[in-house]
Amino acid sequence: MINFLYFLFFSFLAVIGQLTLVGYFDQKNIFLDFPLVLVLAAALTWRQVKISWLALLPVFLFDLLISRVFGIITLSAWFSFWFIRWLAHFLFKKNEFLSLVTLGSLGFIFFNGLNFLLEKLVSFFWQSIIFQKNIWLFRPLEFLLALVLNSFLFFILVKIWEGLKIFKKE
Amino acid sequence: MSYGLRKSSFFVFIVATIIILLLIFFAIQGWLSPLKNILWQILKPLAKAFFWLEQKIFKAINVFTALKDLIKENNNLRQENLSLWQQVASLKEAERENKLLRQRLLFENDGKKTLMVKVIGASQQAGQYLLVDKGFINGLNKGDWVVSADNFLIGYLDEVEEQVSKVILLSNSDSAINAVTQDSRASGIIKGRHGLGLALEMIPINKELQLGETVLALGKEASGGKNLAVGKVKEIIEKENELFKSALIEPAIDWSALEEVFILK
Repeated sequence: MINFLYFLFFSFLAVIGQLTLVGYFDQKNIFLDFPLVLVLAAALTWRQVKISWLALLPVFLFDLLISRVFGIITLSAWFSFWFIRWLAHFLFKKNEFLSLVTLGSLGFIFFNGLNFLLEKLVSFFWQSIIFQKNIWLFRPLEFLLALVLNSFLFFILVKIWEGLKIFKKE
Repeated sequence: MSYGLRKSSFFVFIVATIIILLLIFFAIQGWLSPLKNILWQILKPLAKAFFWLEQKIFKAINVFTALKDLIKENNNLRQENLSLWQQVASLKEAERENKLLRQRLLFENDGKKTLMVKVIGASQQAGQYLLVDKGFINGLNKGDWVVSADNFLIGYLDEVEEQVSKVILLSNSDSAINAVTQDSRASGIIKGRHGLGLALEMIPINKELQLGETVLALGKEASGGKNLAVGKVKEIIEKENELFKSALIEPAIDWSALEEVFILK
């Protein structure tokens, strides 16, 4: 229970960080993905942390609070979570930093692709969404930032978490 | 079955997906609004703290950004300043030229054309000749008179090339032009004094000159027959046993300061 509360608190922090810092970075046309990075990290550490799917909690909170069409981000993140798990299990079996970063990057691309498709679908069938970002201009910047955040997070995890096994042993 | 594809994991995936879809349905129905309000109440203090932190951090970042912008803006302003400076200089030149042309309009030469030319060079020894930027392709001819915007005679064209001409100034020692004083009507020849000044020579001894009298170059075809002023008598020189007397003339125009002159045609 205490773990859950800790997690809830840090989820709140992640969401608030996203909501406040985004205000600054949006002016610079950069969109940060803190909750997404958490989801990716959780997907890769799920063997150690059995409740890693709780990483979806900040995504859910963020999705709920940003007042866009609810569900698109949560659904994209949830599928990304499983996509990363699947990749980590079948393709990237080496327990090394480069693999972690590659997986994080692929997860980011998968998330954004799915998110974009779902937004388009919702816009087409149900509710018009104003796309605030120019996808071709901002996505590379966003990707770069997420990559840096991801790498940093994994680097810290590997350093401080002794015996961390992210991938299946061969 | 491997760990990654266990039935329990698949079950979690399906259940969670259904829950998410249900939540989406609730959100569409507006049933999540109370939850949203509660969350905002909880998050408000945290948001305030983050906002304060953001202000502090990005204020520092913004100083550097502003500095960078300032440098860029300063460079742009410098460029703009140079461009405006050039424009002002051009406009001033145009204004001066316009003023000269307007001044020139006051002096009609009985339908004779006047052509404005720019001075592009001068003799190293002062008061000898000027080079102007037009030649025979512009219709200039040897012997055409050259005047200032105020219609004072300066000299005449001596050599006319295709696109450049040489103006012999009145102060040139080779220059000799028939003249007459305006009030006493004493005739003589204006001759240059080696570039240093003008003198009216060959004045009959019996003619009484007045100091300050205007000296006029006698008109010829080029000037439409009009006499043109050259300067004023500033000193009268008489010598015993000589048939003629002379007078020093103070030119009306400072020839060294000329930038544009007019050719009478």
